[in-house]
Amino acid sequence: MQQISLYAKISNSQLKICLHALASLTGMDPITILQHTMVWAPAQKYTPKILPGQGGQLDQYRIHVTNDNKNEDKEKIISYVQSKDSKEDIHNLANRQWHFQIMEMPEAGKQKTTSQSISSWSVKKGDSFQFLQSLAYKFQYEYWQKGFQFVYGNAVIQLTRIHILDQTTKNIKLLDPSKQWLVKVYIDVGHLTDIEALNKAVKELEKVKTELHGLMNLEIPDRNAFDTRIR
Amino acid sequence: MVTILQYSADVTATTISTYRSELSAQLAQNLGKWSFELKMYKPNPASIGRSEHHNGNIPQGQQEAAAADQEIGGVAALYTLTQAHSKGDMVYVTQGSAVQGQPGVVVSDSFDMVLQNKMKSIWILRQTLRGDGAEYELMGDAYGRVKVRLANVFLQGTFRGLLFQYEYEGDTLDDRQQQHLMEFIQSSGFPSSNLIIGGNGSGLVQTGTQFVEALAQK
Repeated sequence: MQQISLYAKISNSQLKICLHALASLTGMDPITILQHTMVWAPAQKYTPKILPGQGGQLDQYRIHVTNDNKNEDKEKIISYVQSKDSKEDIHNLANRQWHFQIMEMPEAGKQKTTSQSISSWSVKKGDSFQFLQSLAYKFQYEYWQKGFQFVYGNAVIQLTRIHILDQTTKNIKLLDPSKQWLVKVYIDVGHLTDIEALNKAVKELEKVKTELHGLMNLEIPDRNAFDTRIR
Repeated sequence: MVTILQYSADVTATTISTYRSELSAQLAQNLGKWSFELKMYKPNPASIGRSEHHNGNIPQGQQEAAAADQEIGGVAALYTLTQAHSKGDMVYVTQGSAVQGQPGVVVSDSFDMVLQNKMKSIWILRQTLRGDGAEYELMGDAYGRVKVRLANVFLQGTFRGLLFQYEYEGDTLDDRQQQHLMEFIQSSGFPSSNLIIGGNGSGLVQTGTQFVEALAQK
């Protein structure tokens, strides 16, 4: 899957007006979202012998494991790190519907939007954590994205803030004390080779960018910020 | 769903047509083509972390052979199974000293490309077995509906043997059903030796372990 996206930052004081504007643009009320993400990485050190005349090292990727809780009231926040203390919590967490993603670096060169290839899959039956461990991957860290979502045409508009676990309160807290919000507007396209669909998606995002101009400045972040490979 | 597997290596590629005629004679309904694919992955020696013990003097071929029996995190091999009648699903089965309880999971088949392309530094594809054949359904029976699938098995295009799969509805197979199946197999003249019944896990994962037991490294 190829994901076309644009990003903006807004301050906490701008949030209310942005939500109102987006609600009237999209004709829908904001959906609250709460997404739990765990990052897993290869557990073993990769030490290839580089022989003359042979290709370079293979890339190693992190796996992003996400779960859309949608609603905090319905499902309690369980941290993977802390779930180890409770059999009930680890069982509850392992049986949630997790989605797995491996992301490539965004396409290089002059682009109108960020264009990133994403491989995704899901576990339909069985223990997701055992599955990751059997692949020789280990847990690295976790975070939660909390915020609002709109759907506009083919585009998804998300306003979120990253939260991490507060070791003392055992609840989640804002990572960034400036309370800024990250806006991400994206369209998922089937495949990189579907030029027609890609061009259409890029045009659609550019239109959203123009329509939101004045409210926020949607732009392309440095592609190095998207690198999830192991170094 | 519960399955039973049978694999014979001492047959030829044309034996399957004899059995297919027999199924038609038994008035089984032909459900069309059936195929499967079983892939085996082994740890990449460069991720086992032992290569530095070899002084660097051992040729790579030998080193890989030595690593063939080694484990990574207690897992010696990964197997993936896709079957034509279960579109979108891929069975993932692990083998090794650390594997206990449920030995695998069912994942979406998009994981196939991920394992092959994005995890090469840890897992290397070593073997692909393909099966090509047909699927039948035995109708009007007091023992529940039975699906019979049979396929010629190929390794890198070379014929290796013939595989039978029997599938019953429900989660377990009772004695009555097993006896009925044996009678059916014998009356049809199908191979009845080395029937693989049960196994680790349940549902599709159990089916996956049966394929591994029948076909791995043959």
